[in-house]
Amino acid sequence: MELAIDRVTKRYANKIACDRISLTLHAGVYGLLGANGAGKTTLMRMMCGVLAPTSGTIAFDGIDVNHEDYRDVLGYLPQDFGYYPEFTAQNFMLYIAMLKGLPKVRAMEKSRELLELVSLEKEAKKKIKTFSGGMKQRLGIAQSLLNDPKILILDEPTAGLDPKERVRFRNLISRLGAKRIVLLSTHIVSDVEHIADTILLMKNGQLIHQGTLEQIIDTITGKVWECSVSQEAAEIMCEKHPVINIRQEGEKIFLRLICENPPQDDATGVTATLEDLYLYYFSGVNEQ
Amino acid sequence: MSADLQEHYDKIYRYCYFKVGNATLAEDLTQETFLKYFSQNSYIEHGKKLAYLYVIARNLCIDTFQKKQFEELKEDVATVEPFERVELGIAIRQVLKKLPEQEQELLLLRFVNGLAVGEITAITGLSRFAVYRKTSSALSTLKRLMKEDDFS
Amino acid sequence: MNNKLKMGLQSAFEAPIPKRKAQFLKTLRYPKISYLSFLGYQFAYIRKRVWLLSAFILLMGWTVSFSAAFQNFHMEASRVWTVSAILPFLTLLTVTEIFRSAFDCMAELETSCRFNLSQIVMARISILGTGNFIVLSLLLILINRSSHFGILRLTFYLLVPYLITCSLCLLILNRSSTRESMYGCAAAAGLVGIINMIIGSAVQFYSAGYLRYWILLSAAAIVLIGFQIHNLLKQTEDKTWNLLLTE
Repeated sequence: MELAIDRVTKRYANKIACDRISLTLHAGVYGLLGANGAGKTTLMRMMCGVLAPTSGTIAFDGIDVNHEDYRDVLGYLPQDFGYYPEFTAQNFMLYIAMLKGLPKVRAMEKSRELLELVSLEKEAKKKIKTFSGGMKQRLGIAQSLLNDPKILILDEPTAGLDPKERVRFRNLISRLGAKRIVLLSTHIVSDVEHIADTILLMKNGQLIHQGTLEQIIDTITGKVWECSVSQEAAEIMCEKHPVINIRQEGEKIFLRLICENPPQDDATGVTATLEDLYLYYFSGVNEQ
Repeated sequence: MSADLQEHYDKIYRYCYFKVGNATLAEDLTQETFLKYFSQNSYIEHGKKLAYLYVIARNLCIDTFQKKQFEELKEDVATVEPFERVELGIAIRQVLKKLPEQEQELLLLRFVNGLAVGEITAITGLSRFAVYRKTSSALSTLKRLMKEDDFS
Repeated sequence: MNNKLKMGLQSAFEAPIPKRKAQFLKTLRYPKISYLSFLGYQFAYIRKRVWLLSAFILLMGWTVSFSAAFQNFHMEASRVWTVSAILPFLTLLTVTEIFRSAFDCMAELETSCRFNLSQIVMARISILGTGNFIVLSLLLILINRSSHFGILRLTFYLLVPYLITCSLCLLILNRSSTRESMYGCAAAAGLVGIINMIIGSAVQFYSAGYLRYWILLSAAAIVLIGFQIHNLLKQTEDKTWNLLLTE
């Protein structure tokens, strides 16, 4: 089971959304992390055959992304999706099931099973327009599993889910990742922290990092410090180093920042977290 | 049904092996069963109950009739079974040979493959009553013979 | 039936490990519906309003041709334009039905399915095209019964409003398939309907002398439609169809 993405580029008139991205994915959960505009959605769309790359190829076990057989093993949750107005949750599931080629009996079985999986079985006969954002999102997750896909691509799947739903979702994804290629993109660092086996960092259309959580955090291990300083000192430090967090504490300023060496004598070294890394890479905080 | 598919493959394979006694042949028949099951046009629109899978398998086995013999217990049969179970299994195997084939089949379907009585009636063509009666008769014979051999 | 016995039975019936299971199951595909079934389902998903309007139009055609009330129409042409003024709305419903995926933002999801957007759109065009063709043909036959224009001229009188609306709507929707552009199409349909009514009252437009203009208009509209449909299908293939580009 191998999804090969080979030097995939997407160029628009005024910008390059994805720049020669190469990846090989195997069974497991991959977390795609990046700021808005980093090219995550563009990459995912190309992996789903929704957008055609300007150059490069994508193939699953040799089957090209444009082939019907590829779509046959694909499940996709777009960042935003609509629905035909009068559809109930069940109508929606059956419609998508039909598009995925499931025979009627199987479609009904699978719809029921999946609606139960995302705790929407009671709302099956209710119209989608009455759904909350979280419910609609769960419906989206359910439809992506209809054809028992080998490749599951989820764009911001936890958006709109409350904490309890998010935990259930994480458990679900962990189970699914055992025998499938699951790629999910998110801004929520904690989702990725807990469920992704491999983390992919994207910035400005490029893949800047790929590895396990430990490997990724390694780049800033031993470089995260916390200290309390005076106003003037804080200003100087903000100029020199990437600052993760800054807080007023009485007279002093509390700083959490990234630095090769302790920024001052009484600074405490702290364990680096993915959150730190994310802010380091993505909030323009290291523009030096 | 994907994960179930694996389980059903095992179950049908076990069933075919019981019928024909030969591993390679049993696997061929299992695969043929699945292909047939999925190729029926009526399946596509109406779906078929799981029992139908067994019916196909059964018919295929009858067509390929061979005198069954239990193969010698080979290394690769029991992988992670505790020794007592293996020993008991060998003992039961000997005893099973003494039962009529239909009763052996019922024991396999009911207690090893875990089928419901309703499904078994669809496969074997027996009435519910007959299934209950024969199964319980098979069990008591089994127990009796086991005691006689002083193994239980 | 104690547990020990049950386990013993399981062990007794154990078979040697199957050797070809993984490979077989990997290649075994759950049966999928045929393209024909897919067409059937697409037909079912087309909203009833299209068929209702079609039936209504046929009813109008029947009434105009045969009902006593209309026998008194002193102008032959009135019968024709009464009906042909409604045809633009059939076109409107047809075209908006074809573009449903864009209006309701389902296009992205549909593109990633086995029967993808191109196939869905093709199916809709085929089904609705056939439906419209049948309606127009029946209408032609009905009106012909009670008019002296002859089949040929009638064909063009009925076709022109239909075709013009069709080409205008497709033109608009190919540029931008949002809900707003749907209102643009409705406006176009209304416009054609009104123009048709105005022309209808000036009977000379229906005289033999002007026939060639009707033919010309039909031909131009057909060419334009062909163009637009080609464009549309190309767009769905190239996947540039009105995606919610959020990045």
